Amino acid sequence: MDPAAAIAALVFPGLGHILRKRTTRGIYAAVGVLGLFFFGLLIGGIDAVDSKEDRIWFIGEALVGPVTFAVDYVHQTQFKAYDPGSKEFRTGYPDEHRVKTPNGWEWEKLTPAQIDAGMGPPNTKGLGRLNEIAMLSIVLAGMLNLIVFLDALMPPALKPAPKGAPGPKRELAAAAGLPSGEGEQ
Amino acid sequence: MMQTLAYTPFIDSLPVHNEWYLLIIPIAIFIAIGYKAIRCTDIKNYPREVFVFTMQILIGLGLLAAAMTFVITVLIPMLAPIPS
Repeated sequence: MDPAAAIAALVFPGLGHILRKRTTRGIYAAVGVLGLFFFGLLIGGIDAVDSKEDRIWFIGEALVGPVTFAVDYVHQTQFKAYDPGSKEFRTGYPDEHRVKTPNGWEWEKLTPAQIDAGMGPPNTKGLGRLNEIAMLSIVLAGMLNLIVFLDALMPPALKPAPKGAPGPKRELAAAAGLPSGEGEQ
Repeated sequence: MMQTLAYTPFIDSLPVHNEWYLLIIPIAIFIAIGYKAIRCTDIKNYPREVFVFTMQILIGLGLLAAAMTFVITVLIPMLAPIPS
């Protein structure tokens, strides 16, 4: 077990491997995890990360680490507001805009002239298949980061076989991701 | 006042509703990049292993899609035809 590497891996994808001097693997892991995360955000917009309205999806997304919580915080505080009618805290409809009131941010209906002028909510709600693919991409990033985290937490138990040595030990070492005597660990 | 007519990357949903199936390609590439980073036997073979794994994902999903299409459009109508 390597608790320091595990904590680093929790803070940022791939950092645990970098701490264990497996820099190249750590960078590649970070590219994979963060690539999936930001690709999901690109497809679905910020609405793809929502701890209030998509709770179950958010559990999987949270496995990416603090970056998910940061995006969710921005989403909840900068893009949502209260609906004075239903008392719901939600994303705005296309004919609404956020206004600051003594009670906090609330949605206010726009007039047709304001809509024509281009006013509206700060973001649009992700809907349908694209929203599902976006959330799936971010959850896959979380699942991938879980594998990366476990790999950083538990360094491979097998020692690397000598270079060129045939047999099952070398294959097991290779299967565990250990160096085969060549390249980086 | 907030202007929302224009698409804002990472804020609004990407307008690719008709090409949604192409989104699997970058997702498969990123999965392969991340997974092979820790499961690649020798880092020197990394690019080749990422390519092979990406192709395995895409071909596997393509075969699944073909099988599902066959079941839904051919097999089920044959087994349980809709009475006219």
